[in-house]
Parts: sequence; C-alpha cells; structure tokens
Amino acid sequence: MNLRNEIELVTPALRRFAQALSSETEEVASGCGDDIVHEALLRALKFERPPRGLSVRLWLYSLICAIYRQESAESQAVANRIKLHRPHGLREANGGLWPEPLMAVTSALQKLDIETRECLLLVVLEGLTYNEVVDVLQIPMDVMLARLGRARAALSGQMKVASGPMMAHGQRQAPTAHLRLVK
Amino acid sequence: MSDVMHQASDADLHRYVDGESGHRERDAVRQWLAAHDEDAERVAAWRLQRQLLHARFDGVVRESLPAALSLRASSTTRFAISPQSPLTHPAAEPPLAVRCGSEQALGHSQVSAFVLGFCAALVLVCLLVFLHRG
Repeated sequence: MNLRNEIELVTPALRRFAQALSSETEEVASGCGDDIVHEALLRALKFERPPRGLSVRLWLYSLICAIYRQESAESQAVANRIKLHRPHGLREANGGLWPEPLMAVTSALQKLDIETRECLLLVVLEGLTYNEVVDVLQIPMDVMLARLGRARAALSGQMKVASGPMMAHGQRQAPTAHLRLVK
Repeated sequence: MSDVMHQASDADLHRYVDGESGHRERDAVRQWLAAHDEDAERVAAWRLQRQLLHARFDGVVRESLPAALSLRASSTTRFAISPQSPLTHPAAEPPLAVRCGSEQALGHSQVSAFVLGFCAALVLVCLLVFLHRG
C-alpha cells in the first residue's frame, strides 16, 4: 500500500482526533480541526517517509500533535481575546444542541492542558495502545500513564454533576486522591 | 501476576480499562474491583468518559471528507487547499497547492485525452482531403 492510500484510510480518524483536540476553538472556526489535518497531510506528502520507524498512521498523529501545539502557541492571544468576550465558556459549534453530558465532556476536555488532552484522546478516542502513544508523543511510559491519570481525574472531577447519579455517587472522594506516579 | 491482587495500582486500573491487561491480570483486577467500591466507581467513571467522548466525536468519522482533505477529489491529482480558518491560515496567505506524485500526474485521463485529440485531428484532416477531392 502506498503512502497516499494509507493516508486516505486514516484521514477520517485524524479529523476526529484533530477536532477533539482543538474543540476549544470550534466556535471561531469549525474547520480548525480540518486545517490541522490538512497541514499534517501536506507535511506527510512532502517528507514521504515516516521518521523513527513509525507507521504512517502514528506519524500522522504525531504531526497533528506537533501542529496543534504550534498553532496553540501562536494563537494564544486570539484565544485569550475570545475568552474575554465569553466569560461563561465557549459554545459548541452547533449552537449548543448537544445533550448535556456531551457538552460537559467537551467542556471538561477544553480545560485540560494540551499534553494531558492529547494523551487522553490518543488512548480513549483513537484507541492507540500504550506503546503506540509512547511512540507518537516520544515520552516514557510512566509519564504517559501519569498524564492519562491526570486527564481522567480532571474529567471525573469536572463532570460529576453533569454525568448523572453514578458520578455524583463518586463525590465522596477527591478526584486525585488515588493517583500516584507509576515508575 | 497472581490471580489474587494484593494492591491494584492506578496503572493496573488504567491498563484494565484500556484493554492492556493480560488474561490473568484482568481477572485479578476484576476481583479487586468487586471488593473495592471506590476503585470500581473510578473505573466506571473512566468508561463513561470513553462513551461520552465517542458519542461526541465519532460522527466526524462518518462524515464524507471535505474536498480539501481528499487526495482523490481532483482529477488533476492535485491536493488543493482552501484555507478557511483565520486562526491557522491568515487571510493574506494564498491558497496552497502541492503536487503529489508527479509520475502519477500523467495518468490515464491525460493519455486518453491526448489520443482522443489526435484521432479527432486525423479525422478532420481526412474529411478536408475528401471534400477537396470531391
């Protein structure tokens, strides 16, 4: 299978990942995630061969992470300006039509820092194995697990109210009480 | 790992939820969770997070690809780009285009068009010759 065929196969999942990763800016430009994917495909087609022995799929995920980090740093001023005008948080791109739990998970996702968010999404949404995530992000396994733990604890903490009785029951414990770094 | 788990670490629980555990480890974590409600609640919350994230974002996978992201959208085998986001592509930036696979650019469509044009010209010449003789 050539590079273009491999890219075509994985592009729909890349769009999902990029949109979830960049959901904080969805209301500004619904195509923001697609722009990131587009830039990743351009770079892949330009360089033609994945580095570090990565598969094309993992290479594209790593490109998206790199591009999003770069774009986030560059657009920080713009993002801050937007937040000033929306003190109650960002609306969804569809005008807030999502059911409450889905709004809550998106809102919680937006509050994660980039490192924990990309780690969570690669594992939970994209279904990458731990070893694949370690390869994509080029971080040690214990760091990856620590980020995953932080992300899950933060989401649990922020979604208690919105996620129904099961989560509400968990309010007895602090969200990070059981977290510890795995070495 | 023995079937009886003395202490399930956070890493054990994450591996269990994410399908990274082996058979024996999975069984041991199940037993642990059956006896430890707080960890069972955390694991249930993590599973709920997974369901909600998929419910929120899986629709994107089912959408047809935007033309700008489709490598086969254009018959000229060009990967055309239409910048839309003011955040990622400043308005002043011209539309990008990258040629991918220059060898493939001379594809069947170009060859067919060339042959067709040549045949049409041949027929036209024959027709003109025939008319002059007539």
